[in-house]
Amino acid sequence: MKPTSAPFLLAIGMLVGGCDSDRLTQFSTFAAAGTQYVQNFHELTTQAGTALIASDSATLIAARNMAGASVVAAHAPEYSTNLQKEDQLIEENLATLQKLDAQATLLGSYFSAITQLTNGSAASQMTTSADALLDPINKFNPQIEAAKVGGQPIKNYVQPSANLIVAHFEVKALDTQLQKASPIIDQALTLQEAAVTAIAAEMKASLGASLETRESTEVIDPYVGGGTLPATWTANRQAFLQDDVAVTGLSSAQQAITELHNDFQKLVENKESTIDFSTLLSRVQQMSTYISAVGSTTSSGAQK
Amino acid sequence: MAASDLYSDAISALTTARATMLSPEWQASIDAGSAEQRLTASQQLIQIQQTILALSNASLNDIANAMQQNAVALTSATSALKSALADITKVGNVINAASSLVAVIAKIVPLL
Repeated sequence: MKPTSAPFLLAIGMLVGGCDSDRLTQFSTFAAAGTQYVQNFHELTTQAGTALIASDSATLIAARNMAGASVVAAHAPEYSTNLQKEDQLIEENLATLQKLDAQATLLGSYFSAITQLTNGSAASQMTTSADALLDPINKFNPQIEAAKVGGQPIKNYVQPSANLIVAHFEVKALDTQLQKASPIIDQALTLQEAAVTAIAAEMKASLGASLETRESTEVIDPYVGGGTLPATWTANRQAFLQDDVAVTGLSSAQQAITELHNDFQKLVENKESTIDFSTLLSRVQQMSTYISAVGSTTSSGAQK
Repeated sequence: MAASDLYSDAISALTTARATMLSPEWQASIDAGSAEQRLTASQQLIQIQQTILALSNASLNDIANAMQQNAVALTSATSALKSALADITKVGNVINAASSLVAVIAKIVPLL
């Protein structure tokens, strides 16, 4: 891709008015929040994948226990075929998560480049770096649109919104950058928002009904019952908590990406407005807290 | 009924059936049954799980016509499963109802 004609750094140097200077500071805050969101999203998709596999495995184990190990062994060909079918179906589901994760990676790289630009610590190659990311993000957007979750392509989950009208900024380089990047980044954020909504809805539908039952039957009842704890109790509790936090964590991700998208639109549409990032930072922080909780729960569970 | 409603109802009934078949109440009912019944229930639980995954992976746009073509059978089988789940002590009823719904969906979504 052809680099921007005037380096972004030059734009920073040329800023003398408070208006664009404030805007650059706000871009920096936004990009830092975006970078943090993407890091959280990586963890969340990992957890979502883990939860999906754990839930599927729990069902397979229950089916095996229901028939009895010796009966399953006697019907080994049939159960083997079913296990392979199930693996393929799970892999299809995980492939969608991988695509979303890859899109988030590109967005994260873009946010990092923008952060460095607005910090004024980078040279013109950083402008080139930010520009170079736009093309792959733009090419990836249709793949995300077509990715299927819960029986529908992601594009069906997109909330209708007015076309983005990018404000004209006094500094030409800043203006050029925003005019070019904004529609692409806006579309990527729209799809990211739709994707998180789709995954959350699917996981809630898929796991929600069984979570309540699992907490009582696999965690609480065996613990408070008079008998010996089953050998699988720790693993069952860990799997339940992973699934539960993954579902809840996706809600916090929904709130974070919605706020990130809203603030991006405000940032590029109205150069005069002062944007309050407190809600965005709070949402991203809540998401981070969830991710940390998942990490520590998983680690402590695994060590028992 | 719209294809999206048929889809939602079917996947909801299957998800409830799966949750039921993972419950201790179901386990107690199954323990009282025959070995053959336990094997059938085990196979049916796997079929239900695969059907839920296949429906989730499918695109509603691609299967909307097939859903409408099988709407009557789909609605009937979904209702029958919901009714059967009201009394899980009748294991055979639940298994048969789940099996019927899976069979209808197999005409709509290739289950690999």
